[in-house]
Amino acid sequence: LTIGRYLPILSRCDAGPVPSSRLTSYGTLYKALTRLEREGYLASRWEDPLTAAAEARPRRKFYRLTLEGEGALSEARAADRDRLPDRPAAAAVR
Amino acid sequence: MSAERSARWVRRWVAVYTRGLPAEVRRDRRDEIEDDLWAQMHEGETSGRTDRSLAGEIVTRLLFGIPADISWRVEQRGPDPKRVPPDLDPTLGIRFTALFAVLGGVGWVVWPIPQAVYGDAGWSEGGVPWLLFISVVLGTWALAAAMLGLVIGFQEWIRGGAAFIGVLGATVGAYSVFGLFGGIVALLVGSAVLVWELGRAGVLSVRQSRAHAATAVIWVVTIVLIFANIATFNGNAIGAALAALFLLPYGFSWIAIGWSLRRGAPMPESPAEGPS
Repeated sequence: LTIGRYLPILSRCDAGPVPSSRLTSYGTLYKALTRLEREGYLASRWEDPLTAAAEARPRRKFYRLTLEGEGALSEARAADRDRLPDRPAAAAVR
Repeated sequence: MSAERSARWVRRWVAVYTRGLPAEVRRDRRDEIEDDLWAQMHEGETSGRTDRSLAGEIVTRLLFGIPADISWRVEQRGPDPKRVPPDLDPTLGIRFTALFAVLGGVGWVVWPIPQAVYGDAGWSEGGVPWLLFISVVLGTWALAAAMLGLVIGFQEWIRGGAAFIGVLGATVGAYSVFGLFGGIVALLVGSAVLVWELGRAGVLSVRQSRAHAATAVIWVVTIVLIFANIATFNGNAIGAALAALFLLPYGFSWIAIGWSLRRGAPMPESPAEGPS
């Protein structure tokens, strides 16, 4: 797996909420998350179902970048900046 | 269609593609989607969006994700990693796209030949209407399917404008076989823009994408010249055959694209900016 393929999704994990106009399709998103977790770039845990039930909503799955994921993300961002030196860094990962 | 009804379609689809998996895997995927739908609908309600707009967004996310869902489902069987080169992404959707590209390319390599030999009589008795039907109609639909597959499979790496032109070209091109023959130009323009964009994103090689765009331009220019000088080509077998030669590279280009994607997609170096 090349991290660059899923860089946009990884970047969003790192950047907080995503505007609805930029939502990835269900299938693409969860397949990507499955792969990133399998490769060790992400770790996940399920929320306590009681917490979700108390707030009357479905339980959530939380993802966090692993050290390996952070390293791969930094490398991919750096490679992106090198490839497009005139592009602002923030835009390069958006 | 209401947002709640769209969400029900999503849930039904999840139930379909997770059928037969271990209960835990099935429940986890269902809960992930359920939370996503809840968050999407909750955000839609608080932001004041119309129910119809939200429903459209849910359906769009569902439809564009179906190839990835199927691919994910296939992966749950546990593919043999030794069979997969590490730098390729061997999703089922990409392989189908490659297959459609090859079949469509073959169709478009075949049909100019009987068209040049028989002219319009090729479609009537005494000609080869079955061959023309298979190569023109099915070939065009295969190319349209390949274009849609490329847009869906690489939606993360292509810009929205290119995706739109690609989808529009595929749709109009597929419809053109019902008699709107001029619409076929949309398919060529759409594929040229789309493949060019895939070359820019690193999915296809730059050389391949430029070659494809060039063959599309050659095709369109040739057809325009033929129709501008139709009297010259009518009944002129040699002229028609020479003209047909200029139409063939476009079909060959699609075969080459399909062949290069047959084992999966090469990894792009970097994603493009754009909607996802």
